Amino acid sequence: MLPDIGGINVSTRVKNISNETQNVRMIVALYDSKNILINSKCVEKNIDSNNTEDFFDSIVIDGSVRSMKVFLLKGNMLQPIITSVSKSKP
Amino acid sequence: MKKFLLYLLIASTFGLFAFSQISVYTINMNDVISIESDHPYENNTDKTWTYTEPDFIGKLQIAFSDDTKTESLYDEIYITDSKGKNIPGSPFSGTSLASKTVVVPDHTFNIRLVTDDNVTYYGFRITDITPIPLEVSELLSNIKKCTLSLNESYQLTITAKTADGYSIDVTDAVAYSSSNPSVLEVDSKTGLITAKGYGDATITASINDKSTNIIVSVLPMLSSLTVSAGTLSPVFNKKATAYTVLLPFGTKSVPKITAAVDNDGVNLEIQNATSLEENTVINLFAPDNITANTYTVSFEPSPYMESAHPYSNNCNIEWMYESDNSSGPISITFSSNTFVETGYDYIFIMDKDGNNIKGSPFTGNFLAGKTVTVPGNKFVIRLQSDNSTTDYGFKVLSIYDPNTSINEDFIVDDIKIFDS
Repeated sequence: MLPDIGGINVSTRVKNISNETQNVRMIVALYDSKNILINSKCVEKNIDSNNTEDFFDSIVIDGSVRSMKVFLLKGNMLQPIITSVSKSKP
Repeated sequence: MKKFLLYLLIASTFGLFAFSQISVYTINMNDVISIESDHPYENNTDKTWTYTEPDFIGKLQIAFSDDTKTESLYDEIYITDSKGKNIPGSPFSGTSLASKTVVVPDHTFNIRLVTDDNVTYYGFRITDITPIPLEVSELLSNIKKCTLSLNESYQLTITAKTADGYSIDVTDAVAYSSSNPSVLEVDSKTGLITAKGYGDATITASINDKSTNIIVSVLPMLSSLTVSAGTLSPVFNKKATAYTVLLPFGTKSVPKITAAVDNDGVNLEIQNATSLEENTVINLFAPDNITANTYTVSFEPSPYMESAHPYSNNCNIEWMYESDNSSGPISITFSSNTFVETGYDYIFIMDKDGNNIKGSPFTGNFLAGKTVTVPGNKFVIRLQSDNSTTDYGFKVLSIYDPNTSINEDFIVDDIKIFDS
């Protein structure tokens, strides 16, 4: 559950097990009660083959935010690496 | 300038014999005297003076008078070498050249005065030009290695680096030799090389005690390379020996490769790929049966479907996609330039049962940059056009299952979300 207001941290760790460098982005998106995107942040890293990178970001939740989604995507085509993780206010 | 004055003094003192010895410098002296602008210079002028130090290899050091001045930032003095390249700091304006010396790493320089429509000053006057002989610290060629086809010529370019960091073109000043003239001839003065036989040769360019080597291979080469389907990438160039044939989405069969040699007597052998995962290999053997060259061609079907760009009139083409490892749904992202004639040409997107997805058929730029989702693990895109007006068509940029991990390339820890 999301707090009504306050800061939220998001973190994960990604290991690239392919045999080539991969571009990975973690996007944190905030939506209002009409499910309209109102803010987002992105951390982008190139992960060498067999390397691990930590992704961390923080974002402020205010009264207009209703829900949050975190996406982990790869490459310029933004292909999802995992299903997005969602959190909503009660 | 001191040298010129000295030569003039000698000439006037010792008569005609001495004068004939220094005539070349006397001419230069006159040139030097004329290298100055009007004082003051005119508005709206664009004038260039050129100076050459004949039979000289090295740098020219140019000194300007203390009254050299132009309107700062509006009237400018460009100083360039024989190839028109500005020296560091050029263009100059204001008093930046007053009582200064600049160096041009060439035996020729151009000085160009460009003025605007108001305010004039003294302009410029050159007081001295001093040739500084070349002291080579390193000799460099524009290439270290190259391949040539039989009878092909190539012009080498040789640059001398000086200890103080200048680069001077000495292509016409160095001496050239070939390790194997029967393979490679070189013009000993100009550096033009010509392939006369198959094999390897080393060209040596030297000046004073410095030299540089260029390794040249004369190889049998193709004169053409064509494919029966798809697009050759890069565009054929007989020097490039690795190619990829870009094929349309869904291509299963290996296109036919056709090649021709550039010279009689070269034997050609093509080992055709039997599947798209293999390469077609083209081997060429020179008449000596020793010198050989190999070209490889790989095949790459597009992972995603796209129409012709532009698509044709009266078309009705379908592309089918089926996922082997997902039960769906499938998301399809289209390129931002996806466009069909609005209201007349249509893109249909249908699910595995042949039903149009919501919004289908699409027209105009509706799908440009958009992602649509199709239920199930299979879909069909159909492009249907009328008998007039065509446009880009469509291109699919990615296809993926939005609900399924595609993290075969990654191991991902849980995403943690916590209050800060």
